[in-house]
Amino acid sequence: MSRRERTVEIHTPEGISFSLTLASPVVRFLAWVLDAAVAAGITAAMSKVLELFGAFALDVAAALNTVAYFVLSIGYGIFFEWRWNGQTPGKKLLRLRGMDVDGLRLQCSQVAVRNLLRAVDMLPVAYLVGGATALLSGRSQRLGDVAANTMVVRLASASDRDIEQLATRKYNSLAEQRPLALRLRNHVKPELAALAVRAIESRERLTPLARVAVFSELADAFRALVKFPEEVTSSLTDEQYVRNAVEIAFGLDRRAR
Amino acid sequence: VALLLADAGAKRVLMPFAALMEDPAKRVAQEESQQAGRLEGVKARFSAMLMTHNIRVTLTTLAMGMTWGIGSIVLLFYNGVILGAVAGDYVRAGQSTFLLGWLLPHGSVEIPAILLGGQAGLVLASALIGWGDSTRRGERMRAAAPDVLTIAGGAALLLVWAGIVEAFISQYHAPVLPYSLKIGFGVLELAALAVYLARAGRT
Repeated sequence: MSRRERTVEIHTPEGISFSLTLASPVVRFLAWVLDAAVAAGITAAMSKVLELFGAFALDVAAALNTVAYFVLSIGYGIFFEWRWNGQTPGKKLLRLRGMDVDGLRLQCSQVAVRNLLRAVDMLPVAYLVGGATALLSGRSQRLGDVAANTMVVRLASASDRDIEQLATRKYNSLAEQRPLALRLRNHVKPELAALAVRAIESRERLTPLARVAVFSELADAFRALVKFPEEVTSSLTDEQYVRNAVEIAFGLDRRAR
Repeated sequence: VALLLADAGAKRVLMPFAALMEDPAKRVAQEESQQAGRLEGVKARFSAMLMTHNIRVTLTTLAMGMTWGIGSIVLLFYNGVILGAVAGDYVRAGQSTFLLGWLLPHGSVEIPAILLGGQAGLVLASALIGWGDSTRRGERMRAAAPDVLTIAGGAALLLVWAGIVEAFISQYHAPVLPYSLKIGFGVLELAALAVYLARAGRT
């Protein structure tokens, strides 16, 4: 990843700071193209179904087709960003996520506002207004993002290569608990996983005290997600716990063996 | 309207549909003789097109609030000019009753709806500009969002209603539907909407 990518620093009330990488207008446009293709596919499928229905009531079928197309074009982004925590199929494929400017999960009203305001960002063609605004904005926001207090970030800045190197190929006692491990994998937020990866990468550069504190907090965050049985965790240090959790989160526990 | 009175050529530029280029009196005679035939079998389609188009226009007017309100005002003005041009044309031709009967049943709901869209746009714009408000822009936008969404939802519902009325009622003229009934219906809708808007939003 180039150094020219823009990031935004988030400071939580608990005194934790972390940085998120903002998605560039170009990547976001590509995600939109993918979404447009998905939406076109859905539209075509709906038309086919309504065509069959049209054999019985041509006028009603045509009306439903118009309404369905409209609802899809307005509701596509709202539905997915609401159900998939700030992601649409296009954003998911390109590993982007819409979130609150404070790094929080999108609220329903934010999802609605940022999607309804596409009407101005898409002007005059191909989201030129939105793209220009994003270039000028400190947080790479289009007008809909400004109105909704949202931004779009790239997920898990650690590349696959970095993560592969983290795999210890040591015995992972947490991974032995298959159901719990899967649960952890499904529930872990990409932000937490990315943070843990960075902590592991930079562990040698931390002072011993900071290292203990950082891994203690991260281990607590992972423990809060899934409760593993005492006999598995009691012999693990916080750092080992985090390493094991990260291996599970990125599916390295299986690849290593 | 003044432009139309001054320059007959302006009509060609201003009129949104080909049907409006004709002589109003001729059109009225034509419409009245047709009775119900013209839209038979396509009314649902026509209705769906009207409501989706109108909701799109209204949402665009709303979203234009992010241009510090300038875009919203321009769109409202543009729509007003077209409507004024059509109305002026018919009034000059002495067809006021036809005009009212034609436009009021759906217009008394549709026009307020787009005005509401413009209002929502201006709510956004005032939060964006934040004149005389010392809170941060993010907080102002956050505070405005519920109002904007409520107005947008309300306007969309009104436009669904207007779309149904326009396709199924407005296009019937005397002698099928007497003008007095159509105008009375439109006035009633307008009154109901006015009462609702005057009372809504109070806590």
